[in-house]
Amino acid sequence: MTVKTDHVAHVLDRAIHFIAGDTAISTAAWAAAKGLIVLVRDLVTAHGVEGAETLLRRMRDNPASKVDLTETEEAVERILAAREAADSTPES
Amino acid sequence: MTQRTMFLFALILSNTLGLGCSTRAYVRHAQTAFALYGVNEAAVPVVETVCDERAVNAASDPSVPTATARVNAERVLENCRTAAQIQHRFAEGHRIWMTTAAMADGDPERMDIPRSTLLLHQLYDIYVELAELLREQFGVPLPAVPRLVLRLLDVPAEAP
Repeated sequence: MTVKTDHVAHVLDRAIHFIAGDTAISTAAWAAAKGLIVLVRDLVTAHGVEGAETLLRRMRDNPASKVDLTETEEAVERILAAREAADSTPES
Repeated sequence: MTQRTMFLFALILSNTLGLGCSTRAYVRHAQTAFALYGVNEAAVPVVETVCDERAVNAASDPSVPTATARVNAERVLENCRTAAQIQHRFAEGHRIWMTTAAMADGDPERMDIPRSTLLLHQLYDIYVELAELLREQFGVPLPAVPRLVLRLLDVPAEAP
């Protein structure tokens, strides 16, 4: 099967415009866009059992990521502790 | 909408190969699992970034007393922990699917297709649950993945 690369490029271009418009989460959204582009590229080049094996190997070597809130929780606690310390300091 | 188009486009492109029934099913299951893996990888940084922004902003809000800021930040963090729990279920479910796929050891005939189908449907449902939570609690959209893609897992029997 021949993949029409101009079609792929068109779909990716539209995806990039969609995500770029989301300024509220722009940094993460761009990372997401890159992830999706890699995903599509891999899918369209994954032909037959050999391609499937490649995908399986990639997933085995890089297990699905997990959300980690540790840094956020620590940052929030630091901010609140600083505020509480400031609140308890008598004003001069 | 664009991601939806892209997702369908990729799956349709990669499933017109004229392979045998079990081989075709094997390939489709691997591709669908990888597609779900991809949307998860895209979702994780979004969840972490949104949670960090919202929780830190709530804790730092100078317009409310510290005690109120603590309550507000904790409320945000509770929603974030719920999102993280859902997402961790996805990651664990994907690990279980990988174990199922690994048992086939590269042989399409040995792939447990019914179990794989069940697991991929569960993964899809978990992703939708995560996307709904983020949209309702934070107003943040994740890439929409149409349920229609799961029908690609139903490989028709080979013609005699």
